[in-house]
Amino acid sequence: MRRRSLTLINTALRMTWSDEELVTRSIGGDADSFNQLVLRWERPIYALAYRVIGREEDARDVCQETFLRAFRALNGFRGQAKFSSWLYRIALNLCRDWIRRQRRTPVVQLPEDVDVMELAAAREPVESIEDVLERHDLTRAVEKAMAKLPEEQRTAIILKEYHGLTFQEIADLVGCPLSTVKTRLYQGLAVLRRELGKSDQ
Amino acid sequence: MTQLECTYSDRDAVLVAYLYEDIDAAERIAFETHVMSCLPCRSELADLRHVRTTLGRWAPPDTTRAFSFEPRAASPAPRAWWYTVPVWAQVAAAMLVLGVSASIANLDVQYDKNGLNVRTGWSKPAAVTEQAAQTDAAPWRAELAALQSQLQSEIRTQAKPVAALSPAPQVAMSDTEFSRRVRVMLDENQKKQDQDLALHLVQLQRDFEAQRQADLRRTNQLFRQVTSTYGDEIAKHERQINYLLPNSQR
Repeated sequence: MRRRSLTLINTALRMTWSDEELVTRSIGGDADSFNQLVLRWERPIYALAYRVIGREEDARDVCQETFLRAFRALNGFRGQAKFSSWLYRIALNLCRDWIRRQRRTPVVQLPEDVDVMELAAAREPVESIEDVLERHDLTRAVEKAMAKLPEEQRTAIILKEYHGLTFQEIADLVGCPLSTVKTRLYQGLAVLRRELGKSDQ
Repeated sequence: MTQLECTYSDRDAVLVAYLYEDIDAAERIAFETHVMSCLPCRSELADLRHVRTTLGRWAPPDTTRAFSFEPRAASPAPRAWWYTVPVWAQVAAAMLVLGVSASIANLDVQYDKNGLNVRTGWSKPAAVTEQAAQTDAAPWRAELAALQSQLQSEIRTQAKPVAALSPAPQVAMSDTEFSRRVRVMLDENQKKQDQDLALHLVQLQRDFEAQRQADLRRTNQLFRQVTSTYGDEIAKHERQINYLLPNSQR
C-alpha cells in the first residue's frame, strides 16, 4: 500500500516536471522519466505521423520508432532546441523515409470505403449514425485534399495547424527560411480551399 | 489565390501570418486597417478561416498506448576474465601457486605422536634443534614448571624469618608436600570463584526484585490515573445502562 502510494506520488511529481528535467533524469537512467515523456508526446507525434503519411498502422510504427530513436540518442540531446522540436524532427525524418519508400515500392492501399456501420457500432452509443457518417465524409475529404499537397506544404500546414508551432520553429525544424514557410502555408491553404470547395459542392 | 486587385506589400505572407495570429503588433494593426477597406483580402481571409475550421475537425483515429520503456534489468557485473578459464586450468594454477608458496615458506608438515605439526619459515639448524627440543614438551609442562618455581620462591620468602631464627639447615620441600600445597591453593582459588559467583547471583536477584517493585508501582500509578480520568465517564455510562435496561425490558 505504502509502496503504491509512493509510486503514485512519484508519477504525479514527474507530471509537473518540464521536458528538459525529464530528459536530464532519463539520461541519468530513470526510465520512468522517459516514460513520462512518451506519455506526454506520444499522441502529438502519432497525430503528426498520421496526418503526414495518412495510414494508421504506419503512423503508429513511426511513432514508436521516433521514441526508440530518441531514447537511443538521448545522450546526444544537448538542449539547444526544445525537446519537442527535436522529437518532431526525428518523426518528420522518419515520415520522409516512409514516403520515399512508398514512392520506390508503392504498396496497395487499403480500400477507401470502410464499413461505416461497423465503425458506428464500435463508437460510443452517444454518437449517432448521422454523426459518424458526417465525420467519416469530412475525414475522407480532408485526407483527399491533403494528399494533393506537396510534402513540404503538407508538413508546414500540419505543424502550424495541429501542433501550433511558430513560423520560426517550423523554419528551424524543416531547415528553410521563414518567408518560405509562410509561402508554403499560403499556397497549401489555397489548394485546400479549392479542393475542399469541390467536396462541398 | 492571390487577389490581383490587392497590392498590399508581401500580401500573401502577411495574410497567412495574420490568419494564424503569428504576427507582430504593428504589422497586425496595419493589416487590420487594410483588410477593412480591401474586399478581396476580407473575402479570402473568411475562406481560409473556413478551411481552418474544416481542418480542425480532422482528427486522427484514436490510438491506445502500445509501448512503454521498461527499465533495463540490472545487468550482472561483468565477470572477471578468469571465469572464462576452464576449471581444470584454474585447479592447476591453484596447485602451482600453492606449491611455489610452500617452497618459499619452507613449509614443514609433521604428523607424529605429538599430533599434526605445521612449521613454516627458514631457520638455522641450531635454532631448529632448540625449538624441536622445546616443542617436544607439551605447553602445560612449561607452565607447570613456571608455577613450581614461583611457588618455591614464595615459600622461600615466607620461610626466611623462620630460617633466620633457627639456624637449622633448610630442608628441600618434598614432591608430596609440594603437590599438597598446590592442591590447597587450587581449592582456595575455586572457593573464591564460587563465592564471587554467589555474590553476583544475589546482586542480580536484588536488582531484579527492585525493578519488579518499581514496575509494579508505576503500573498502579497509571491505573489510578486512568481510573480518575475515565471513572466519571464510566460511571455515567453505567448509570445510563442501568436506566435503559429496565425500560427496554418493560
